[in-house]
Amino acid sequence: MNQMSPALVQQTPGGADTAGTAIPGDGERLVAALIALSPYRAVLMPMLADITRIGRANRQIGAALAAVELRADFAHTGRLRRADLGPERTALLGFLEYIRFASPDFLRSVGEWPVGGKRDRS
Amino acid sequence: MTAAEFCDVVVVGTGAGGGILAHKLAKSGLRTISLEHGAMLPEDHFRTTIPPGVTRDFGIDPSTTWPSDPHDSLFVHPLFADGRTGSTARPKGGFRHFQVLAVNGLQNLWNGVSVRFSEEDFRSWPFSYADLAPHYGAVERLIAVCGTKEGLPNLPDGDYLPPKPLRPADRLIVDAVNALKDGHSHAIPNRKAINTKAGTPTSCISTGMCTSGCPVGAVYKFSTRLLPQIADLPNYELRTQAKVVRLLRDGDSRRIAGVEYIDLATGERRHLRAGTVVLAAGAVETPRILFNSADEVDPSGLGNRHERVGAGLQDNPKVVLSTSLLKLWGKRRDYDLGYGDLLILLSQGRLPDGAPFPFIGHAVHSAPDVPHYLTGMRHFPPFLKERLARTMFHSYVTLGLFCQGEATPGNRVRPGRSVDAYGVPQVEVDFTIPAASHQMMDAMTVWGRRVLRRASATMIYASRDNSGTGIHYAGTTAISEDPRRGVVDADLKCHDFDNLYVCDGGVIPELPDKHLTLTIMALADRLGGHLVETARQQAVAA
Repeated sequence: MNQMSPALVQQTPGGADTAGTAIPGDGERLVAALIALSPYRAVLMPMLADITRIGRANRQIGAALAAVELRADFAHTGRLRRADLGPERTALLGFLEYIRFASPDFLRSVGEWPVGGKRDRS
Repeated sequence: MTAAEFCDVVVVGTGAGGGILAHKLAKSGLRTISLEHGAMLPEDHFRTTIPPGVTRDFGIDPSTTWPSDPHDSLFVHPLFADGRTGSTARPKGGFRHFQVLAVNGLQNLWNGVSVRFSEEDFRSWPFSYADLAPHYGAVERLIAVCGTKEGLPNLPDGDYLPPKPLRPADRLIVDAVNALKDGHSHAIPNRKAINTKAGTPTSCISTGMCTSGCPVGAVYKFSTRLLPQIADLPNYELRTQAKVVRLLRDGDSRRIAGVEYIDLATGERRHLRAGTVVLAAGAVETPRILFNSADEVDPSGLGNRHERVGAGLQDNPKVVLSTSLLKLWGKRRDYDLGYGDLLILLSQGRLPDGAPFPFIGHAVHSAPDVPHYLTGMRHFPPFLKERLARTMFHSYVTLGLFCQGEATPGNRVRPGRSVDAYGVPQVEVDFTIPAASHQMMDAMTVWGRRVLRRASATMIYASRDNSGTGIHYAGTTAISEDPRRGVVDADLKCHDFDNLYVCDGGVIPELPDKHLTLTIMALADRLGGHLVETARQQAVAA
């Protein structure tokens, strides 16, 4: 049974080539700045590459990141403040919080990692 | 357009009815062709491409949204057809039609619940439970259903494999239901089409959920269980990416000459001639095909001389209640997680006028890898969320309760104004939740809350719906001996034709509380026998 860690999965999700809204500029820098605003930044930052990839492929998050980048003029300032998140704040912080609680670190803490499907302990 | 070909029987659709039927016909030696709109999913699709849970990309796909209703998570799967290719344009609001365009159809995401209708449930049918009982048994043995014999009149027993063992959360629910002592509430092991036998390639591996596709094929579906038995037979062929556009009448007679379909791989329109045509495409798609087959003789669509095609659309009204059970706080898991919903719940409610009605449901317990519980914690600070989430992780239970549908004059599938990506006219759905359904959902909610509170519920998150999310569509080509009241007769033969049959949820005239899938499969087994016998008699006569 496949027990891969999400952090090791590099394959692009199905439909990602058409589904995600491209983030102009350096997507990973923007997501890093976003993670820095999250209370879960310590555990999320090591997963930056995966979070960027998954966020870009998701229709809602991809569009939200693009909107925030424009609003913050991130390409020029390289800075992101909480106020720059605007109406996308709930979605973006919800996305990061979701990943925190679906992460191997959290699932390990409740005795449920690795998962990979098989959960027969009889 | 290529030259027409010929087969004895063409079966449109490879889901619950179409799969069982194709297997039976092919095994009998009849030249059988299955036409399936979608493609065959790769064998490892639910292991690698879209595995259940968080094993890939934390369970996030392009359509995941934040915030979201935790009870809506079942309805955002990427396999569900959108308005470009589905039977309907899927307009926002109103009735939501769910459809999977791939071999196995909706059974790719089937939860596997396999219950028989009761004698009472056949009160408006032209035959009885006893007539269908042997076919229920045949299907249960063919697809492997786990469960227990309970002797309950409202839920007839079948032939079962042993179920998986109950878990602490299940035992709390069983105790809570038994404590009601009302004489009609029961909590029994679920009956699911799951291979619980250990040591086989398709043995259940206890993912804790079945509705996102099974990585090992433990839940029955045509492609993994029955298709391998017939795929190499010289008299059987499965044609995928074959979208049926319409049926073709033989002159101006009562016979169907065959079907016209689009080969989606080439874009070519093809004709397939057949001695018999069976529509097993679902209670929304089958009416669409019949409407789109309108001709000079039947300008309202085939089989529709009494305006019954599409009428009587039903789905099960449902309530869903989720909670965290206080008695399970702080517990670690030392048990087999199983297949998610190990319990069937049965009870009855009362309408405001005192009339009783039955309802059925299941109790779901799993490991919430996908953290839907965060919605309920949104007002807590992060440090408290972390502590609560750990403490409560193995305490979540969800009850899903279903009651009967109701055929009303206004709820129907009708010809639409839109066309799909292939230029084929779609259908539209008119649907208003009947008043009695609201009352039944009220009563089920009260019962569910009582049970959960007795089981040590904390906060209860409740939702309800009767606008398509039951995904138990029925009634649109109803069975009746009276052509003015239904579309097909007791043999599932269309009243207006001698060689056109329907075998999907549409034939069920009054949708009871119980899940309809096993009944569709039993009807397919029965129809298969009928078609084989008819062919034998014709051969003798010839």
